[in-house]
Amino acid sequence: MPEIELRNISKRFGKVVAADQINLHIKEGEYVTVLGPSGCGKTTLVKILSGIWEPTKGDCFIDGKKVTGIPTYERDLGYIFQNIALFPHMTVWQNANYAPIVKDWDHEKGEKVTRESLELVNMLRRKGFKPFELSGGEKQKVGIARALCSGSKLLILDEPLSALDARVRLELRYEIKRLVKERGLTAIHVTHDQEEAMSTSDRIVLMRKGRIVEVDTPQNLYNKPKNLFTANFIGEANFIEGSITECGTGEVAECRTGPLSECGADECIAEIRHKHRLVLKNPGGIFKMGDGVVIMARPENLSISVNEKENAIKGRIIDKIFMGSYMRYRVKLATQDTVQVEVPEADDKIFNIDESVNVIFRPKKLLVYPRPRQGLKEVLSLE
Amino acid sequence: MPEIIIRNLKKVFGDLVAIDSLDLTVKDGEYLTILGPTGAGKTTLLRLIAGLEKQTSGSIHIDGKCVDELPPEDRMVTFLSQTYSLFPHMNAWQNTIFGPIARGWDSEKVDIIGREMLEMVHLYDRKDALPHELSGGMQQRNALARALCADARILLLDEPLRALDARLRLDLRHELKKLVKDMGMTAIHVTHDQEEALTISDRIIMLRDGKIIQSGTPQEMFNKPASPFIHHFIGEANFMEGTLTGKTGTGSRLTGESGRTYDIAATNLEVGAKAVAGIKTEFTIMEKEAKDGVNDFPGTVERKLFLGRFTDFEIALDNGHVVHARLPSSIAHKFDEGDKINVHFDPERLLVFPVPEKGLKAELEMM
Repeated sequence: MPEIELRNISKRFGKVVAADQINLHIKEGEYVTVLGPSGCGKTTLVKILSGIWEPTKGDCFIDGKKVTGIPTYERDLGYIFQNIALFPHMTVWQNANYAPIVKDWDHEKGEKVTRESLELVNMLRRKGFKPFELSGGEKQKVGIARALCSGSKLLILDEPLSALDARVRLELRYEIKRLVKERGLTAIHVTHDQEEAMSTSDRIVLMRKGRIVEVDTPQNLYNKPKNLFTANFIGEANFIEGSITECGTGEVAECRTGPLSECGADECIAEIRHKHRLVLKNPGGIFKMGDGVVIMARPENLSISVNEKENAIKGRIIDKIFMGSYMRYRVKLATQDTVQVEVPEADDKIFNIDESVNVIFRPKKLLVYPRPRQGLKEVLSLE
Repeated sequence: MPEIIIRNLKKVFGDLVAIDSLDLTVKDGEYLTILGPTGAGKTTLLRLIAGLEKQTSGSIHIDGKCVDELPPEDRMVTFLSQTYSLFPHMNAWQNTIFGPIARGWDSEKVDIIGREMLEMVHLYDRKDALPHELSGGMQQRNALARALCADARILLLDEPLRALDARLRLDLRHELKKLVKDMGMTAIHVTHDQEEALTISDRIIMLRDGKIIQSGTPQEMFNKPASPFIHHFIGEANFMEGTLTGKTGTGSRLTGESGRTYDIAATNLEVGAKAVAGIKTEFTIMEKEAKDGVNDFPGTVERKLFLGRFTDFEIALDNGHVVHARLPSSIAHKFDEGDKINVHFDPERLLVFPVPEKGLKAELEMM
C-alpha cells in the first residue's frame, strides 16, 4: 500500500520557482487535496510525484522507495486529468479495459476488474457507447473507471472536475470520495475549488506561490486557520485591523512588559479605526500591548440587531443578497470597514438597504492574527 | 434607454431545436441571468441577441427598434465570452481602448474613458502589462474593461467567471454586478451555476430544452419553483412520490406506494391525483430525539460531508427512503455517521407538483 513522502522538493523553470522546498508526508489510504490559486505550484507538485517532471532538487518516495529518475509508467499510479482523454474510437468498455489488455493480465481477471470499475461509477449500462455519445460528466466517470482499472493503489486526480457543470461536479465529488475509500486507495487530488477540497479530503495542503501555507483537516482550516491567507481562501471572511490597547484585568501596567497570557487575563481589548473597540477572547500569548492585529470573523459568525448590544459596532446596510436559506448583508461600519453578515432566512427580521443597524461581534467567534508587515491586502491576495 | 423585447424566437440547427418559441422582455437596467444545464440553449439565446447567430424565426427589438437585420456592431450590445480573447501583443491599456480607437474617437476622450474603465476594474496600475503577464482574474477584468469601453448599453456575458478560480469567482461576482449597476447598464448573464445566479441577479430565467420554464426573482425561484427540476437545480431537494389522499388544515396529504403518508403544502391538484412533493435539503430537519408525530421518520446518518459554511448529511430512513439534509456547520457537530436520528419535514416546505410527464427520474436528469 502506498505511502508518499516528498522531501525538500524544489522545481525551477528559468527564473520562476514553481515549487519551493516542499516537504509533505501522505499516509497510505489517505485522501489529500492540494489546493491553491492558479500558479501556486499545485500541479507542478503532482507532476513531480508522478514522474512527468523531475524536481530540480529534492526527492520523492513512494512506499519508502526513492522514485527520482524512475519513469512515470514504472511508478504504478493511476492519473485522472482535467480534460478527459478517452480514446474516441473505443467504446466505454474498451476504454476502461485498456490497462488490463496492455498489461496483459489474465483475461478473466481483466474482465472482472473492468466490470467492477464501471459498475462503481454506474457506467456499466453504457458500456457499448462511444465517447461522443456521452455527456461531460459521463466521460469523466469513464476516465475514473479507467484509472481504477490500472490496478494501482495510488490515484492522482488533476483538477478532475473543473471542466464540468457546477451541478454535475457536486454529484461526482461524492462519488470519487466513495470510490477511493471503498477501494482503499491513496489519493492526491489537485483543485482550485475550496469547497471541492473540503468535501472530498481527509487533509488539505494549501499552497501559495510555490510554498505550502498550511496543512490540516478541512474542519481545522475552516474553523481555526493558522494564518490570514488560509482564512480568506477557505471560505469567506471579514478582516478588521486594529491594535491591542487594553487588558481584560484592567492592570494595564503589567501587560506592557510581556505577552498578554502572562497576566492571566482571558480577554483583552483591541482598538480599531475611529476609536471603536472590540473585546477579544483568548487572543493567545503571542500578543503584547500595542501590537497591531487583524481580527477575523466569518460572515455566519456575525449578527445584526437594530438595538445596541455589547461588542457591537454601528453601521448601515449597503446591500442585501438572497442566498437561499439565508440572507447575506453587506454593512458599512462606522469604522469605514465593510463587512458581510449572514442571517438565517428563518430569522423573522429582514433588514433593508440604508437601514442603521448594529453588527455584533461575539468575542468567542473572533480569531486574532498579528498584523502582517507587508500589508493585509498583499497577504490575502488571490492573484 | 435599452429594453430588449424578444417575440416567438426560434432557432433550429438541423434536427435540433435550440430555441423554441421563446418570449422574453428584459427591462432597462435589469441584471438578468439565464440559468440552465448544458445544452439548454443558454449561449444560443445570447448569441441570437448579439446578432452572432441568425434566428430561424421570430423577432428581437432593442430600444423599440427591430434589430433582426442589423449586424452585431449596430445592436448597442457588447458580448463577453468565457474565453476572454485579449490581443496577445497589446498591453492592458491598448486592449482596453481598442474600441474607441477603432471608432476614431478623439484622443482626449479615449484617454478619459480608458482610464476610467481600467480604474473601475482595479487594473490601472497594470496598464502596461501584456495579457500573459496578468493572472486569469486580471485578464478577465481587462476584457471587462474593454467591453465597457465599447460604450454599449447592453452587456451580454457568456459564463464570464467560468474560467476563473473558484475563490476569485466569489469576489468578482460582487464586483461585476456593482460595475453594471454603477454604469446603469442592462446585463444578460449566462451561467450554469445556480449559486452565482442567486447572488448576482435581479431576475433569473430558467432555460431547459430551448424553453423558458420559469422566470422570477432569486427568492421566487428558490421558494416557489415551478417544477421538481427547478426545485432540485436551484438548491437541492428530497422528493416523495404518491397519491393525494386528503386535505389537512392548511395543506394536503400524500400517500406513498408503501403506505407512508406525508402532510404537504397546499395544492390545486385534486384528491386522488398522482403527485410529487419535494423539500429543499436546507429545510430538512434533523433531530436527536426519536419522535412519532406527523412527518417524523426515524433513520440513520450514513454520510457526513463538511463543506465549510455547511455540512451535508445523507440519511437512510428506516422505511428505505434515502434523504439528504444540509445544516450550518455550527450545529452539525451534534450528528455523526451511524447516529440514529429523527428526520422531520415541515409540511409548508414540502412543495407539491403534478407527476412530470416522463417520470420523476427523467425530470431530474442533469446531464
